[in-house]
Amino acid sequence: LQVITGAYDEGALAYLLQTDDFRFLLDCGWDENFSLDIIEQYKRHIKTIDAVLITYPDIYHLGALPYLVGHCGLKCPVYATIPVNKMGQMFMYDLHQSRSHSEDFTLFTLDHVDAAFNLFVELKYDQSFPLEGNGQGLTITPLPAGHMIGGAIWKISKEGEEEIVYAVDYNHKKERHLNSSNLTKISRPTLLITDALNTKYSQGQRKTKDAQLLTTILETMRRDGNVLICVDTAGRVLELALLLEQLWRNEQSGLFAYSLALLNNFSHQVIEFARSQVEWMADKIVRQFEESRANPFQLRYVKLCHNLSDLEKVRAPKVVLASQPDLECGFARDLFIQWAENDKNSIILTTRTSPGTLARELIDKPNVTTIEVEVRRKVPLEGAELEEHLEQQRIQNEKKAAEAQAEKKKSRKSSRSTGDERMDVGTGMEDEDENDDDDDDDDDDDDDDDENQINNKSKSSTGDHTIDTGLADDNLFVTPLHTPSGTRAPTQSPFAPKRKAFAMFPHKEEKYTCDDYGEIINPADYMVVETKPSIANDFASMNFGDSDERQPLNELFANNSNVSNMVLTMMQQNSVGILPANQAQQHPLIQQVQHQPSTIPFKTLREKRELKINAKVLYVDFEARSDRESIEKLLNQIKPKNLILIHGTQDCIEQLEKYCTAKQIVQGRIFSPRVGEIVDATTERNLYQIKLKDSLLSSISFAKTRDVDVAWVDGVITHGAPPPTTPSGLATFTTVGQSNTEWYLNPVAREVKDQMPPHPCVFVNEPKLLDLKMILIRQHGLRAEFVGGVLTCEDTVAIKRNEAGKIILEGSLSDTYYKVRRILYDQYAIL
Amino acid sequence: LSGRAALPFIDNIDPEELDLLLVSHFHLDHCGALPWFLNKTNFKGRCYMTHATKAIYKWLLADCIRVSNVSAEEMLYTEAELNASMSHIETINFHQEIEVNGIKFWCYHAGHVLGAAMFMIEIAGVKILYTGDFSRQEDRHLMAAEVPNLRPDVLVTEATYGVHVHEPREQRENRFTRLVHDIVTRGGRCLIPVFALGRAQELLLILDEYWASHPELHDFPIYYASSLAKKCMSVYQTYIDAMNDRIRKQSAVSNPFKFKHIASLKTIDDFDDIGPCVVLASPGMMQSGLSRELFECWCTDRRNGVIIAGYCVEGTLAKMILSEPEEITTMGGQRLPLKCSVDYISFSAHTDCNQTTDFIRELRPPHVILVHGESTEMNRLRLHLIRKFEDDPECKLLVYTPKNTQSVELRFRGEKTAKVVGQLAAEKPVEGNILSGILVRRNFKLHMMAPEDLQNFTTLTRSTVTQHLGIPFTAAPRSLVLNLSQVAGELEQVGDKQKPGIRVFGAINIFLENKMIVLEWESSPVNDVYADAVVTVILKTESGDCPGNTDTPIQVNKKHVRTCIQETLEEMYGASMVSVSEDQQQLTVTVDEKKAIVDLESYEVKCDDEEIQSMIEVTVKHMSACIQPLKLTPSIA
Repeated sequence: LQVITGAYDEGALAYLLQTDDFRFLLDCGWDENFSLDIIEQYKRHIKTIDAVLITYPDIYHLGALPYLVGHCGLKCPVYATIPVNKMGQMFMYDLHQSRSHSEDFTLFTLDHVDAAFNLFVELKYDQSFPLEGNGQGLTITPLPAGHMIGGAIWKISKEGEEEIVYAVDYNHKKERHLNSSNLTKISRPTLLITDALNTKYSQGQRKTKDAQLLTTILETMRRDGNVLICVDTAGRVLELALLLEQLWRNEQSGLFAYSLALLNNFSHQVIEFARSQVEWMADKIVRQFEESRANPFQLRYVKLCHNLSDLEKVRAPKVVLASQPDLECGFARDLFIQWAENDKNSIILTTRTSPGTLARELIDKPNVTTIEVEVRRKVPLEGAELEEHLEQQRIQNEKKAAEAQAEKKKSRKSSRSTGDERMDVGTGMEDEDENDDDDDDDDDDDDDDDENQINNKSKSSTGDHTIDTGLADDNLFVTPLHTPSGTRAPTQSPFAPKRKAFAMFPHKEEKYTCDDYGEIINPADYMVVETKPSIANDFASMNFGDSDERQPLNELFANNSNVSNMVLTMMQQNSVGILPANQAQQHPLIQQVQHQPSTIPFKTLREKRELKINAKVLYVDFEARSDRESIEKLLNQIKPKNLILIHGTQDCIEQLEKYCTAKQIVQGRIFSPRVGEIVDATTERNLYQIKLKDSLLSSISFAKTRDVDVAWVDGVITHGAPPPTTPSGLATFTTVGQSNTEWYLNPVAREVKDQMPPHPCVFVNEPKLLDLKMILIRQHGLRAEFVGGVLTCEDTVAIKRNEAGKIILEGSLSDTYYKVRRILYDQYAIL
Repeated sequence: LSGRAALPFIDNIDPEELDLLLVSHFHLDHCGALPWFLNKTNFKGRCYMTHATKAIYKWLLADCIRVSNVSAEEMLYTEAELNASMSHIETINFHQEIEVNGIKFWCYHAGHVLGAAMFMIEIAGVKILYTGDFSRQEDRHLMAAEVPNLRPDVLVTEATYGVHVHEPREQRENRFTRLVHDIVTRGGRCLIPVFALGRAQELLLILDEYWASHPELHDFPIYYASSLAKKCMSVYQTYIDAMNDRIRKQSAVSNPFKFKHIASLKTIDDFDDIGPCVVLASPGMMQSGLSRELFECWCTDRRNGVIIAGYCVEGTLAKMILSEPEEITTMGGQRLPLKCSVDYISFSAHTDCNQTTDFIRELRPPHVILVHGESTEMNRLRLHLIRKFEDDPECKLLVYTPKNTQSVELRFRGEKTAKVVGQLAAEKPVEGNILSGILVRRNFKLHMMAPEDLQNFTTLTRSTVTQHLGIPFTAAPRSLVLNLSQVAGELEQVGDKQKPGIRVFGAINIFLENKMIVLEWESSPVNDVYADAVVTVILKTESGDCPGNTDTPIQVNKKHVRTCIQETLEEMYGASMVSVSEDQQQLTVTVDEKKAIVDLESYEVKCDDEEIQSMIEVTVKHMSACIQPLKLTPSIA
């Protein structure tokens, strides 16, 4: 096992496990900041990986996949459960969108995400999946882990004997929507790889947590504030959504009057998927569905929002579940910046994200009053910068046109036609989009990277508009309605031009165009004006740029001869607030413009701001990961032969290690590797198969203990040729050397047997004195009681257990003595 | 048949002996008696079905209870019992492996209907595949039955369609949509009697898709008139993952079971019969109910049409009108002329002859058991299969067609394979070596290991039991020692000064503590016997009637033994043939002019003739064993 990342820290997880010649990558995480150091670690091994096993759909467990598939050529199959696949996709889409809303995000594209998820092989819980090729003889099985929907503990077993169990972040408790992990079913694996993250931590009671959440929400609602609950995209959010939905349904909670929203880029899809994954959820939910057809995710009160303007429509005061949980990007960050300074509001954090993120900082320093936040926005280039850029593009374009005119025509044709189709069909677009993209790439081959990106982006973003406008009719009239004039206009305008925003990699979105909510709109656009003065001021100050910014925009369109005057006037007439209308008007034009090189290029503005945190910041743990007590209990039950501890701070690992050594849980060794370190947990393994002749079997009498039959066997080994037809699938592998012979065990001849020394006597089983007492009393009618830990029977016989676990039977010569002895013997299988 | 008479021949089995009940899908002929069986028999096993099957099962049977018009006494079960049965039923996901009492089973997609499963059951290495009803043809929402990647030893499969071959899917769908198209465009009403669940959903998907691509038809409404179908629609909308890839991809965009052109009808009263339309109504064979009512309303109009889409049983109206009679009899007894068009398109999702043959070819099971079908068809299929595979050397096929209650007994030669693990396996197996260890059998799996490894490989533990037995003793210790030595031979001194003791048979420690003798030993059958012997000696000594109550222990002297051997041999072979060497160490026996030399120290015999050697050896051995005190190899616990 080699650690790629996730040792002695709390960030992403990824481990390389080699069993014989087969190399597994266990999880494939990335941190919130997309550190390239981690990628470097991956790159070293990428060629040798034979399979990837994914446990949970969040960024810590699969975040690096798109990058590795997109840029490093990872091609091996990725095994995960169905929900992990679906929700993982949601996680990555949402992450990507959240990032690219606020900055240029170029590490991976949605294409890469798709490519990565195409590698997925979906499995079910408890499905044994035999591997092929190098991994012949290995079987992988996902087991339920709780924590997130579809979450898995992976069991890798070799020829049914050796078991390696990879269990991280599992949850031992039952939840509203998920069953608890059934790690207890595993017994004595050869190697257990588990995390020590929570060994210094106690999960707390669900009731108290729920109550805490409820009171905070109620208090905030009553004082007319908003609640921001930071959650992930498609994992823990389900639990919270379900919890809140239940609270809302409960008439006594008094929340009925307030609104509740789920805000992330793909909320609709997430809930839709959740609805179709009922069979992966808790027994209670499954039963409920079977008996009354009540799908728990038929959410009545949770309004699904895809962007801040959707959210705008939700009546305040409101509770918003927004992503990302780390507050590093996404709507949660936007809302946080907006709401943090108002002391009416509350912000509830639900997970401890890795150190260094904004959310973590808030958790670790609960009393902090100001915090420095980097505000990232995309703004169009203007003035000199813009002209320079345009000039470059023009030159390039000409060059390109000269070089590949014919080609270009072709590509334009195709892309235009796809554009048309998009409006009608709206589904099954992926292929065409890819074509579209390919064309772009061909064209831009010789461009330098920077240009390439901008080009791509602008083109595709125009495509985006065509669809959005087709579907997002709601926006057209609703937005102005909700706009309190006056204050509103200035607040929006700085964002508005950006918004027009070309900001995303749109071809992905087309997949979701059919939903009712339409396009993703810049969050800040439609901010409600319940905002606090400080922010308003802030915005106002940014506003000065407004007119200036719009001016060049118009100019830009003017430059662009393809854009007609009509549009220009439209643009000017419409306040930017009714932007969607604008787009609707534009779209036929934009289609034409699609492959024209110009639209507005962007740059990312970063600005540091001191943010006063007046709102109540509260951390309520909804992580659902096992805590110390349960980890220890589980380890005690599982008793792995070897143990590898990963993921957790130094303290945590050390503590757990100490615990294990003290309790002698682990027979073999305990490892706690550092990043990059390779540990060798190979065990000396002796195994071969032998066939038992019928004649031998019939001569054995089995003794039964519990669920197992045991017998003593003496036999002579012979070997013979394998049977003429070896049925495939039947275990025919022989581990020791010869592959063509099979060993048989024959009964030992009488004469030989007489000469053999008698075999030592073996008592199997370990009866409990308590059980024994019950048996003595119930079945044999003897008086039996405990006196100081010693079981005495009829006052003449005593049974006790000494320190070494040996049973001692004491008594004076009497019938009872022999009777008790016989009963005691009955508890054993004596061989 | 209804009520009790419709039950399977359950009298022939004892429900109590069953471990496991697996339900392949929700059709009545597969789960209709389940609530009765779970509640009213002494069945104690566990019952499994897939999630989708369980969800639909409840609504389907509830509907059955509602519409069945038998009296309360005749009813096999009530709705309450149906609900009670729900808690007995456990769910299994496709491919999920479950083990019950060592029986391992998992299921594959079977096509046929939503949630239909084929069960692979593994008992002691023998795999049995029960297909239930299955279809190898992918359709609009269900995937084709999977072909397991394991070869089952026994295949139990359906023979519903016998040697019949289905029409290709495109062809029948085209025929269906064209027919519907024709009927509505000629101004007629199109009635499609269907069973509420299963094929109905497939037809709805076809129609919805057809309507979507033919805008000119948008004026004609499509209805499905079944409250049951409506209830179960949410099940279809939920268990997307049990369907084929097409549906799953589509559901990422919008749920295909949220139909755009199809509305549901609650009762016939809600239905405005104003013009051309398409109605899917249950029941499928028009025995009664809505489909019958609509049929009676519409059959007199030449423009209208009926499309029978499924299997019809002999004696039902659906079967009758297929022969296109002039008139039909209504439920009220009236006679109506039959003028509307009647067509039959089989959308049945049962396997046909070709599919079954291909399926068997891929699985190559040695045994095939045909069930579920009329006996003539079944036999035809049997002959067909035997003919198909008779030339195939790879696949020796035995086909069975048991009648009801007739059992098929197959014997599998159990060549049990045990895995040798741990210390025992440290050495590679060598021909002729003796392997001894503990054989552990758990859930039909065998492992062999050294006793020391028991803890490492199983949950079992070895333990030892030490016994301390106290016996009151007042006689002289010395006489006890004497007596013991007569029985046990050598005695060892154990213990320290404070607590001196002796050890006999190398296993039992004897201590004397004020008037009490304490025996201490580790339990094992052999040691227990020794202990009993010691106890007897002690008791005898205590009571003073021990025969060897003398002060001299038996002195075994070599001379005596030698003499005995000599005498015996002399008796056997004649005195002249036996001579003793001078140093009294050797004894020479001459038999048939062959000399055998017996070493009187070690009792070894040397002779050129093996036969004589072994004969004398045995004699000497027995003699010495008789006379000399026991030399025991103590049993080690």
